[in-house]
Parts: sequence; structure tokens; C-alpha cells
Amino acid sequence: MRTESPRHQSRLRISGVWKAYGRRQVLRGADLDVPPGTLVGVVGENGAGKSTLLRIAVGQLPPDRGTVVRTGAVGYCPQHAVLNDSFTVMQHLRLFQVAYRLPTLARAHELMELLAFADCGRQRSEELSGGTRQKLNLLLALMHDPHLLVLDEPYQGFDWDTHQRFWALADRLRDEGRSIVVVSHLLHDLRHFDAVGHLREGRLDIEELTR
Amino acid sequence: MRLRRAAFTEMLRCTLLGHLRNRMAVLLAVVFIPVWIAVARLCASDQAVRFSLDSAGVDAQARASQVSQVVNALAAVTLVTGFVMFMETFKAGETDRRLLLAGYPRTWMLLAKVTAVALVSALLALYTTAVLWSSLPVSQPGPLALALLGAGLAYGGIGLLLGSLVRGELEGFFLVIMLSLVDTGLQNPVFNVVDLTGLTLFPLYGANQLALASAFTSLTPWSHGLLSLAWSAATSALALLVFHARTRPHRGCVAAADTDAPAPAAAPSSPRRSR
Repeated sequence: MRTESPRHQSRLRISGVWKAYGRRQVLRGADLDVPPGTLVGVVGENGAGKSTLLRIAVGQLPPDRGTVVRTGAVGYCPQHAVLNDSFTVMQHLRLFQVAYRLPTLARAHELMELLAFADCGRQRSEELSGGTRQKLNLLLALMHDPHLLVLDEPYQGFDWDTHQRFWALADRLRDEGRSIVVVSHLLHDLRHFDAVGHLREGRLDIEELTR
Repeated sequence: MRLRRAAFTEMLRCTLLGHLRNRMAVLLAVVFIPVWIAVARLCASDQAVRFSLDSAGVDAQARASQVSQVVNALAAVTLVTGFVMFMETFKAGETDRRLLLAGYPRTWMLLAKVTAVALVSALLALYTTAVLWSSLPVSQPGPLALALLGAGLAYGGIGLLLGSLVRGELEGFFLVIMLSLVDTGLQNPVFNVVDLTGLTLFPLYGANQLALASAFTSLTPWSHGLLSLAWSAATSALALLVFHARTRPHRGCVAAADTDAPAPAAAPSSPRRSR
């Protein structure tokens, strides 16, 4: 995954990242390169450090050692829906519109249609079902059409149709040149990936796949 | 400028609407304040008590039930503002950090939150003054309202700070309730607590002195009202500091210049290399 040219530099490069929680060493020199137009899966056992790696990748958590270089706008979808229960769906969209400096919410509305929750705009996030909360969680990562998407099990609680729509969207975004990193547990998701990083003993073993 | 205004007004609007949707907070504000004042009126004796007002340098005299009503009003305002601000800050913490990571202007987010504290405190002060005025003869309702505003601001700031500091909801509730109980209990002149010099350092001291002087004398120790503002400013500033420390850019992360993409919308980064 090291295709490099001035025009197609890596969107995300993680080099020799180490991270420990107290005495528990979670990452031991993990490396990952994500060029434009690739969909990379990250798999590993529970507690292997997948979420830690992604949080370090987006700058939410500092690595103990190593470097992370990101290029272009980033969209991060955390594993558990991070929403304010007092706010409605529309209020979330307007606040993130300010954060991303978006002139309109046209793309957010398109994504709401695509993910089939366009009629939930006036509902507070605490009133939403688990699956719909996760849809909003994902939408907040996608609504500014970022060049790098870092998604931590983004489809938890999705019904099968929405799950399929998510993968169709991910494939389309990859074909449009976006770089996508997805943590996944599901074997049948593997066919979507260009490469899979197996997180074992704190290191990522990259396996190139042919789709 | 347009972005700053949008960041400020959108966050302020959402925060205030969030408070209104918090049924527990609204119930506390509308019901608890008059009930707690009524409890003092009904339960405390009508005997006259004499107490010294350090702030005005005089002794004042009033019925115990009337003094208790003013003290209970202060206690209710501190509990409600402390509770509301703690809950809001605590519940919004994770989403606020996500918004900052996405590029929300930090200063304007924080200013909106502090403005929300001020507006909620002002509304509660007006409401509580009206309830008190209908229940006892208040000498100076204007300064009394300002004293209640000061109490609300001081405990609003404390709620903001605890909301950014503590890890558990229960810890925050306990700390707000405990601090308010100890503070109002020690400041209550009816209890005739021994003269403790340390009392002046408590958050409610200034507001309590101004409230008692405004309710029962014609004197107005304005400088004591400023003590509450100092408490509010200090706790809000500390809350901002904690917030800043928790959301600061990390070492080892670099947002590189992109040749074919717009500037990063997320991930505040510092161009420093790893250790």
C-alpha cells in the first residue's frame, strides 16, 4: 500500500505507533498507509486495539510513540454514537455544518434520504432507535464529503437493507477517490476491501485483496 | 466574523433549548424554588433574630422565618443552577469534543456556554425575586435580584467546572449538593454559627451578604456582589482551561498540506514529531 507520487500522496500514514493504557501495551509499532481511492479494513480480536488505532489516526488520542500524517479533510465515525441527547437531529446537522464550514446542508439531506431516516429531523437523538442513532453518527462523519473516512464499526444496529446501502455508498466513495478505513468484524464484508489490516499483538499485518 | 456569529448563536440556541427540554431542570426551577421558600416561611419561627452584616458593618434585625426564606431562596438558586449546568456540561462533553475535532470554533463554543449560564441565572434570579417579594417585605428588590444572580453565576460556574472535571454523574450531583448545603448552612445567620474567618472564602458569601442587606436594610454592599462574579469568572475560566487541556492538539499527529484536497476540516494537529 505504498504507492506514492506528489499528486497521490497517502491520505493517512501511521508509522510506528505505540500506545499503552497503564501497564497494558495495546499498540506496538503499528504501521498503515492509506492512499487515495482505497478501502481498507481493520480486523482483530476484541481488545486488540482497533478503536485505539482509529482514535489515534484522527487525532483524538495521542500516541506514546510514532507519527500520524493525515492529508485532507477527515470524517470520523466513533464506535458508539457520540450525540447530544438534548439536541434534535437537525440541531446536530446545523452544529456540524458550522464545524465543517458548509454553505448548505444539501449533502446531509441526501444522506438522510439514502440512509432512510429523512423523517427524523425534528426528533431528539434520545428518542431515536439504536439503529437510527448510528445512522446519524455515521452521517456526521460523511456530511462534509471528506477525503479520508475513518469508520469504527459504522453499521452496528443497521438492518440488512441499510447495511447494504452503506456498502454501496462506501464502494461509490472509494471509486470517487476517497480513502476509507473501516473496522469490521464481519467476514462477508471482506469482499469490499482492497486491503485488510490484521491487528495482532499491537502490530498491523497488511493483506492485499483482489476484489 | 459570520462564522463566529453562527458558531456562537447556534450553540447558544441549542444549549438553551436543551435546558428547556430538560424536564427535571424545569421542574426544579418552577416548583422547587417556591416550595423551598414556602417551607422556610411555614417552618421557621417568627421570633426576631439579630445578626451582624459584616458587609455593611451593622447589625440587622428580622424575623427568623423571613431570614430563612432569603437563605432558602439562595440555596434553591445555587442548587438549580449548579445542577443544570453540571448536567448540561457533563452530557454534552463527548459531543462537544467531537464538534471541536470537526473544527467548531472553540472560543465561540465556550462563550456560548458561559452566556447560557448567565441567561439561565438571570431568569432564575428574576423569578426567585418575584417569589420572595410576594412572600415578605423586601427593602430593595433590585439589589436582591442581583445578589441572586451572583449566587446563580457562582454555582453555574461551579457546575460548568464539575461537568468538565468529574467522570461520573453521581459524583457531580453529590459535589453540587454537598457544596451548596455546606455553603448555605454555614452562611445562614439564623444558625448563628461561630464567627469563622474562612466563611468569606465560600462561593456564596458575597451573594449572601448582599441579599440579606438588600432584603432587610437600606444599605447595599455592592462590592460583596462582585465576590460572586469573581467566583463565577474563576470557575468558568478553570472549566475553560480543563476543556482546552482535554481537547488540545496532540503530539505525533500532523495534518499535511494536500495537493488535491481542501484544508483539513478535522483533527487539530501540531507539526511536532514524536518523542
